[in-house]
Amino acid sequence: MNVQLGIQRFNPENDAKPYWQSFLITQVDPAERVLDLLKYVKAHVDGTLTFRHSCAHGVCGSDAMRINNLNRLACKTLVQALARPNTERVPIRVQPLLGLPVVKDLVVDMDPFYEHYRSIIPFLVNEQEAPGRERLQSPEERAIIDDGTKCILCACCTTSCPSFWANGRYVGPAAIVQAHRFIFDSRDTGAAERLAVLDRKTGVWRCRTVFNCTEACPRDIDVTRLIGEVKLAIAQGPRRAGRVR
Amino acid sequence: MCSFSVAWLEGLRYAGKQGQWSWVAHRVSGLLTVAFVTTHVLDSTLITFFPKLYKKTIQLFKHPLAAVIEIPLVGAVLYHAVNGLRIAVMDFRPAWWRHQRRSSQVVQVVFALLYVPMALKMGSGVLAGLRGKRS
Repeated sequence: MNVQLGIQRFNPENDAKPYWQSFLITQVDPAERVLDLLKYVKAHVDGTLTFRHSCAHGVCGSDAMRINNLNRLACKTLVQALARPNTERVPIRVQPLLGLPVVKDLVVDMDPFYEHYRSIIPFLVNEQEAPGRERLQSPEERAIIDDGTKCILCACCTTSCPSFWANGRYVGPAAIVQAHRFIFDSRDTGAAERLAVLDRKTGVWRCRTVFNCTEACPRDIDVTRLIGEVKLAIAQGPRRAGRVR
Repeated sequence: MCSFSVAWLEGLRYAGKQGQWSWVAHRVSGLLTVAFVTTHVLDSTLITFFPKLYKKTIQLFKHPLAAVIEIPLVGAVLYHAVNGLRIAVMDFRPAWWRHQRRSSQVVQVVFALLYVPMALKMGSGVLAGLRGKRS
């Protein structure tokens, strides 16, 4: 199997705007991942190609990028998944995530994304005296926040959201998922503060229920559902919203 | 960072699923609806300030070709209303997210069932008007 790999390149030191560069890679194993192709190009064709990757197994989320116009992790996207039937040359186009400033090639500046993440107070808040042992939680209480705990902060969801493309001040789906994880945590007492942040103009109400975030999530989190539950928590209170599930 | 225009452009390029295209259609139909409402407000305003111009404007709207523009406008209002209900339902019942793809298809079917007969009726009226037999 051959792959025609198109990569959107940009070096701020030399280029006025991004451009496309194409590489023909032959004898590709269909079970190889897009990350393998990028590593091949960097190692054997053009060492200046810049992209992030770390664990390469879908856990760290650092190689999120736009592959064939869809946000995915390069380490979880197999070439065979992008191949069309009866085609000898698989066309693959790779771009940086949209909505975040491009640092170089496929690397984006994640600072705006993390600023939104920090804004929702992403840690357990509990002013009560520590019990001297674990704060216990029933399996049912844990199940409510289970989906949100799977988030790896790869930014696939936030950068697939049209509302975020239009306005970078929108906190975005990933921050809301993280907020949900603590708002509905039976051990947390900081829900009111988080809901106040998300009730602003740049909060959950910018969500247009497009479902791009849910489709893009590499961890199969029901992102739009969690956003919807946060909307209900603001409108009706966290307890009542929890019962709507 | 992105701009409003980039959001529109990328909205058409991003390989989203049904939800993405429902959103695009919802936006386009929303803009058409706003254009229709704005026109209606403006022509209604004429009756107070320029009554003669108002009569001329109404004559213009009665022209069969003006009715051709009304056909997509009715479609836009109808789609915006039906899809808006889908979004409202999804917002009030987040757990129904599993049905989101099918719900987009349901909207398309309901829209087609409501719009096609209306468009045919309006279209036949336009044709009759063009033949000088205004219905």
